[in-house]
Amino acid sequence: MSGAVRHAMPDPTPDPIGDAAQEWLLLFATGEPTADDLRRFDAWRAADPRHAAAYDEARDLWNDVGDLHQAFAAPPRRQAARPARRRLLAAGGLLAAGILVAIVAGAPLWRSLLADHRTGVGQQTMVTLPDGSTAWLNTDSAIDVAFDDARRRVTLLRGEALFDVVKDPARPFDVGAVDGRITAVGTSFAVRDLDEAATVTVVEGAVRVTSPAGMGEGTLVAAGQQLAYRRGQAPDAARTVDPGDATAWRRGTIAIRDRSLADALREIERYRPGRIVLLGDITRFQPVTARIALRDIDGGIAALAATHRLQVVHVTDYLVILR
Amino acid sequence: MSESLLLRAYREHEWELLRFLARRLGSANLASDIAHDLYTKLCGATDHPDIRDRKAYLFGMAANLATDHLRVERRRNEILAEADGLVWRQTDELTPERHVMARAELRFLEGVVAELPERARQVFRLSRFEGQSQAQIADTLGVGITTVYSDLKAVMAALTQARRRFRAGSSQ
Repeated sequence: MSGAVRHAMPDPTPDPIGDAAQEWLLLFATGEPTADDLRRFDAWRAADPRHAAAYDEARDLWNDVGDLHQAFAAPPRRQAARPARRRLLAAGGLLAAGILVAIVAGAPLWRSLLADHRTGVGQQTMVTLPDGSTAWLNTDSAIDVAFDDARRRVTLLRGEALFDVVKDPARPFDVGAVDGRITAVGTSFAVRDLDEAATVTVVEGAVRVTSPAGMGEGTLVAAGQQLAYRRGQAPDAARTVDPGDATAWRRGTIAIRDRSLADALREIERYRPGRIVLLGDITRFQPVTARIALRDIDGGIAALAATHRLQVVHVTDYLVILR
Repeated sequence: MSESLLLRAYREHEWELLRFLARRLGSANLASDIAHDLYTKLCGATDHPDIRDRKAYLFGMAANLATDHLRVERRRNEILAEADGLVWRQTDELTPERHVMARAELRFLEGVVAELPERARQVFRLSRFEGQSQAQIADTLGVGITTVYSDLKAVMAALTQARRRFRAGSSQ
């Protein structure tokens, strides 16, 4: 109940303009706005400078709150002993870990065709694992699942997957990617496999990453952190990221933050069949920050090209040249 | 009533129509949706004596339906892109001091977040950090969509008030 929140944060001053601004922001950020909403919003915002200021405040807050992701992901302060009811745990979101794991290149196609679960280029899917944990597969990805009484093991063969892991202290949950292993110790994490390298992003809780070339104990990665390793090499140091960006694909968006144009195009390439080739002096391009809708990737490419004064040439459906 | 001649022509050319639509729309799933719409339309239609070339007529209808679909879809993407631009700060607005919240303010707001009721915190986290829509969150947590919305609003209001208090206090 929202009453409980008000109780936690007593502030009785009525603020109708602030309320309206927050409602507009929530509609645009989390709802289903219509063209009519956009028109009404423009009229509202233009009607009074206080409206515009209140909206800017709400928007600033929404953006800045990105720095608070750890506070939002932290476990509740007073945690009573709870019955270990799996259904309840899953429904309440009391998960052991949320991790995003990604590998570059990864298994050859024939191997991933035999995988337990897979997606094609441009597809995404949600898989419910035998213990109630969830795996979201991003474009062109494949996983194998091997669960028994002692452990829960998933192997990322290709691509990128986000795991919401249900807590079960008796059976550790781990993900094998390239030659390393990610063990959930604490909630939501994602793994990504690209070019014989794996990237692990922790959305919630914590994971331990071990690889043959790394330290025996492994590296602990906390929520809001990302760690990468290559085959045969020790992991890099963990860095701080906005997990919202790393998991943007799950809400139908590719989020690119401050990457080179070439990197940005490589990221986009994963979601559509064929190649995107960038011609020209790549050092002269400004870094890219963009959000591209997965349902209109070609529109996104066109917009990126336009901001860099490049021309898009569709040679075939499978070859696009920017120059 | 016997099947209309157009419906019969539809059955005869169904595969060609599906291929034609799939090429236009770039998706086989979408093509079968539109083909179904076409079929439904034909079920309600009576034969018009002026239609000589039924096949050409069918393909014309299919092309119109596909174009309408693409137009609606494009409009929808424009709306979403516009809304997205209203929510997220654009590259040219990113200055270092805006990018990272002042440390003291961050600490203060972290304290506020820790005091939020667990469900409200959860709802807001799923929305802001995992990008789930209100409907998805309602589904994930097994609560009503109104509850999700009121939690989101309550957290936004709580953080706004807290930030105003902090800023008013630190400027004195």
